[in-house]
Amino acid sequence: MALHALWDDQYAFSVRKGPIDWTDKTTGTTNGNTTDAVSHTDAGVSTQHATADSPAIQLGGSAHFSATRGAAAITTGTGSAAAGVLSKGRHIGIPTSGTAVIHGIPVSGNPDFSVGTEIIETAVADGTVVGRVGGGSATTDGSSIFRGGSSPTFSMECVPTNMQLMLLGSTFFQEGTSQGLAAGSDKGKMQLRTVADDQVSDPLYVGAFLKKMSAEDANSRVLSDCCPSSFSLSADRSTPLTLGMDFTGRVLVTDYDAGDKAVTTADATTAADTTLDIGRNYAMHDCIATISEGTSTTQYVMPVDSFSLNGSMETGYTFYNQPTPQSILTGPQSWEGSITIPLAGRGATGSEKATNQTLTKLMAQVGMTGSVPSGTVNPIHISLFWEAQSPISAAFGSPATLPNTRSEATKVANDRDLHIRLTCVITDISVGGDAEATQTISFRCLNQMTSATVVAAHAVSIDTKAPASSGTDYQSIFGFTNTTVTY
Amino acid sequence: MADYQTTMNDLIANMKTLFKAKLATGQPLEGIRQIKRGILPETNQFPLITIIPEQEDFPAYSSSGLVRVERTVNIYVFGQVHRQEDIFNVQKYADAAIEVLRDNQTIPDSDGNPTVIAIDFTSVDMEEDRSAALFTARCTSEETRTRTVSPTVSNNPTSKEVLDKIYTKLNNLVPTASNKIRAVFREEWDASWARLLPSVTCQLDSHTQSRVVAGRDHPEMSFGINFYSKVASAADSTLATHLATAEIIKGALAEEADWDGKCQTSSLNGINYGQRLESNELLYQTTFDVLTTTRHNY
Repeated sequence: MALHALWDDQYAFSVRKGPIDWTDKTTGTTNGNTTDAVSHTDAGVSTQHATADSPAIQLGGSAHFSATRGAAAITTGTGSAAAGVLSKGRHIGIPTSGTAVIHGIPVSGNPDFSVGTEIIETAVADGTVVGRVGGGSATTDGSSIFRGGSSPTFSMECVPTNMQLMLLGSTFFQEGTSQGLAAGSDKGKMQLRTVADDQVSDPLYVGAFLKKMSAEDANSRVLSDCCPSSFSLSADRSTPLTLGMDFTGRVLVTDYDAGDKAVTTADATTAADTTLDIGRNYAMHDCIATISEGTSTTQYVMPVDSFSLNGSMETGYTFYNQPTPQSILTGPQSWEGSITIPLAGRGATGSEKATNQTLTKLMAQVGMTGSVPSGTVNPIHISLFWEAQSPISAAFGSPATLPNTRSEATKVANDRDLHIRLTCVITDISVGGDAEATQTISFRCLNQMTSATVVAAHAVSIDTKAPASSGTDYQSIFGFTNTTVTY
Repeated sequence: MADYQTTMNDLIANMKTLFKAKLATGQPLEGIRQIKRGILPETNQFPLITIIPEQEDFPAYSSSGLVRVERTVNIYVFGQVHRQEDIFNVQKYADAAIEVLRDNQTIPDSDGNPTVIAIDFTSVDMEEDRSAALFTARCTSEETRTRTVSPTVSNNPTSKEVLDKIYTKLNNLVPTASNKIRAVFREEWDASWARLLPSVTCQLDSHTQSRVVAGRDHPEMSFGINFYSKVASAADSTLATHLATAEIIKGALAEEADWDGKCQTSSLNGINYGQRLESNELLYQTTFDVLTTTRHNY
């Protein structure tokens, strides 16, 4: 019976450590030499390259969505930073133990993949003619339409936990993704932040999105080797922090069997993992938000009704007359957003804090601080803190105890804490509200530099902390390349 | 208390103060012989005004746990209507009462500080069979409530597990004498418990299966928590004592974001204030509406 219930669909996301050689579509060796072949061939078959370990661990498409960790090194590390870093070709999931990862993503709305196949049409003769489609032979049958390159896409939205945010975000922030491994206060702390201008364009982290249609049949779908073109976060009074992302993949696999995959060459078949992380979500109710009135590092606690942040990245796909991309390069990112705060600010001296008048003046003076039109633009700083176990205690209008006076040792101190810090240039201010007048501040986020390569304040910095480890220290280690976290 | 913040207890007390200030000769409420809060005694001096709390709604919260609470208060004007035209006297006092509140939109406290951001009125209903006029004032104030949050959320808790958490939280209020709660029950009110007043009951009202995301359902459980206290007398202080304890219960229910990780989220959506007649015993009854969202993974 060809009936399919939507509730049965499940989604999973897996990240593969790159960079990938997008032209290498070879399959099937276990000599450990080919670590950067694509995950699936153009026909949608998993490439079967594997490590030289015993048992050999899959590096190609079969490794995606596997509940088995992509590296034995994480389970045997003794404390050195290198022990928690994955080598090229391995797959990354959300760690739950020293040997296991999970991949489930709580996607809303049951979205499907778009095949994104380009159709090229040629002109037809004048008069009453009908376009022709080839009958199977391009040499004998005329055709006025042709199949071009294919760029399958996927748009999704979810209410993430911090671990899901890190896994998904790593493909957008790329080398700006890091997790502290050094013993001490940095261990387990994680970061997504915009990089300085020296990031390479080859994606370091390449994703694969699974829409699992059934447990055993070959009818599930995978957007293989995908890179995001957008990353958006939003929250308001009735919606917790929500993540939206748009992905474009190398190939769309439409006959994926989610129940039939071997992770190591010694494995019997195992199922794709769609287990969901058990972490908390992030409601606006539990957030402490701060805003500065200019370049000052002092930020004042303000009530925020709504918040949105939208990042876009110019991801380029080159086909070289092939049906699938032969090169995928990440390009410049741009960030925009908005928050809504009370018109007149808040606090004991609220009339002086983050008022509409002060911020409007700041915006009006952009470019007018000097004698020439190209004056310096001064940013403001906006931060949102979700601190579960020791909430920031600061009254409205008071200078926040974070981040300026807090020591490195206590940054994102608690498991599942989440900090979002933005360096913003105001682009618009509008006034509205219901019983109370509010101002909505629109902004762009930009890196604030102190030299050509040194960032003083990142355009976007998302900091969080992995769940507490029990047993081995490596139960919460993703295996990202960067292993230091600078708050 | 900070500006634009108040409680239901303080709000009706401040309203009463505003009305009392207009009783003098030449003032708009001249002739009103009694202004009180809560139910009326068996014998009264008419005309009178009584202020009765009706409802408290909590729209969604902003950051820092800021919420614009909407409190609904019923204001009754009772007269002695011997002739048909006497009802105009009742109408006159109702109009004057609205004007008093309209002229003091922020319902200032005894220090003159504002407690309300905005106030809206319903139309005035003339209830000639009761010789009364009724109007409702809806006052918006602020409140800041931070919550205790757990880092992780359980999969598929039963409604009883969540109810037990609510019960335990409220039961922990009992030993503190100043809270003035004698007992907490996990069942609906039973008349035999009258000797244990003031007391609290908590029970599951409904359990709805909600499907939002792939791989996980989000069952919604609605709990009703009732606080009862005996109306020993019609004195204002009886209602004031009841409301003070209701405020403590409200604080306890509102400070739990997830009930020790049993729920994805929990919210106190509203409070209804009322009365209940049980076995010839008149009770003040306050009902708290708690809605929780849990997780059920596939």
